[in-house]
Amino acid sequence: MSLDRRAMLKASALGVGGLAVATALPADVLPAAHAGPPPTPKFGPDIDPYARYEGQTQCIGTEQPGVAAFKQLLLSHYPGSRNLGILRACGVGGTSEHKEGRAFDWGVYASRPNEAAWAQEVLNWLLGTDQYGNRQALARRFGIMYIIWNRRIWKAYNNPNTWQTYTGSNPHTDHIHFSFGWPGARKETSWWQGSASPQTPHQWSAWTPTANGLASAPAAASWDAKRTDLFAISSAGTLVQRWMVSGGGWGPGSSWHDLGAPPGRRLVHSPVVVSRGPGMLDVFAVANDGAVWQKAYNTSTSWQPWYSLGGKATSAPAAASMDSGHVTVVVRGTSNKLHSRTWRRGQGWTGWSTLAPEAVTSAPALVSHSPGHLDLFVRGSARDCVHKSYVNGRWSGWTSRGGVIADGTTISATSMSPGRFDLFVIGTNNRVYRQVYLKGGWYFANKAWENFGGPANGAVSGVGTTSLHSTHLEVFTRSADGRLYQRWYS
Amino acid sequence: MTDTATAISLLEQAAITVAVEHRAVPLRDGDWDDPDRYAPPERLVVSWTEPPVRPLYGAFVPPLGPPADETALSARGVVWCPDSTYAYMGFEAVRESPAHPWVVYPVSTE
Repeated sequence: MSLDRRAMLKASALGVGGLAVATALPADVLPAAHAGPPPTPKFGPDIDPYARYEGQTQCIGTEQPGVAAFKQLLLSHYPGSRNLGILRACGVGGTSEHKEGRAFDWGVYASRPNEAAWAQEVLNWLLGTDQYGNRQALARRFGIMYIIWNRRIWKAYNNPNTWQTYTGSNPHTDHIHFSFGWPGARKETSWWQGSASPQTPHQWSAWTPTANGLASAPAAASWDAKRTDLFAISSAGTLVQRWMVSGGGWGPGSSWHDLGAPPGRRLVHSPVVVSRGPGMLDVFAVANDGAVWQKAYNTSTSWQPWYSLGGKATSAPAAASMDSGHVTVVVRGTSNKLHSRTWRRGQGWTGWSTLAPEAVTSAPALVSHSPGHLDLFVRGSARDCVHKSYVNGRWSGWTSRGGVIADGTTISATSMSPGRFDLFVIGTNNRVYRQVYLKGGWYFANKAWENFGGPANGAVSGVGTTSLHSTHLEVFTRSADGRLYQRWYS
Repeated sequence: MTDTATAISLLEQAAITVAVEHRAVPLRDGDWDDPDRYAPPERLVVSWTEPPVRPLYGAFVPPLGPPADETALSARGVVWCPDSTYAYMGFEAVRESPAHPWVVYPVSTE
């Protein structure tokens, strides 16, 4: 048997019995010399938060850059280790971040002492405490979400100080599985950027059932950092309300507060609500006379009588407040064009004007992320989401945000902080989808929509959203059985 | 319904919602976008012990169970589709206090 010089040198350098070990293994798995874990750049005390759980929701046949670079780092420093790949076919097996290019399988055998030693060396490197006392420091700097190795699992998002037993169809004794959160996958974490990523450790709740008996899509608003007000239309055609003050649960009691309808009329379509400031709510809804009606609340005067804004609407209204002195209402008219009215403090309401001459195929949604800015969304003729911006007194043209929006559903957008809004639609598979606008650009590349999930039996009539403050967003939707479901980010 | 039964029901409902959301219980190989590939929500059940047949794909963190009562702050179970031998979803659920909602984490297959 011949053994090339390179292999002998590797075996010798490892001190693993040289020829005896080397000859016992196929040439492609010979123990290799390595330079130890990759050198670690100098970092300061600031560190990324632990990666939150972000399970696979799409199927993307592209290796994410942070994962590809991590793969190269390990393979180049452990030349005898194996690349078992990043990508996986979409139609095989269960949920896996491999299908989004967010996972890497590093081929090392637990049964081979030298490879098990490499594995342990890398895990110690990733999960060790740095000089500033940051535990699992490099796993956080790479944005690693979880690791599976040799029948055990480590999770950044749950009990990161412990390894747990893992019982699965694959024991992971021939490779280490690394899954990355999206910041790490996108190379946005401090290993790659030099400074800690700005993401917060907050995360989304599961979809949680909140209330029963909804006849319309919900609408939500918050007038301060602790209160959420929720509105819908009852089966009797009246406006109903629930509210929650943080820590206190939903009121009033177990039922909805009925705010009635304009005299002699029934409300149709879903309502919309805006808050111009603390203690203020303006609810807009369309009645069976086609007019848009306003119901205003102020803590000092309580609910005001219904006020008609007139018009001949064929959709639920949209509304947004750029500041405490403005409210803009947009609705689809009988010719399927969008029309708007604006209220200005000291001037009252303008008349109705045509906002866009193109026909649209859904109710509109409106959001303001900063004073002087409005963003308008509606379903276009191709059933995609189309967008128009209002900046410095002028409306832009329409641009498509892609996607396919389900018939008869409402769109919702809400702003958590200046310069940011989150946009939600319902797809034709009755799932909620999201895009995020952040600091002048869209967060997901290529007009991609994040699958935001939904109740087990589907979201059917639209989404209502509100933000209590810059790190709290609440999303509501109605399921097929009329139950209200809530998901929140905090 | 007792408080314990309510607590179990809410957690099982949340776990099934996560399984549906993540398409974690497929019944066969096939197109990722094919809804018929996945167990319909009404067929999914939660088990606090190992499924009687270990499907082809899936993982869990042992020990499973017992079912969470109204005071529990963590629980481990599996969501599976009876009669299917293709895949199941293990999950871990945690909450900050009994007044907080459950956060459900799937246990990834690999």
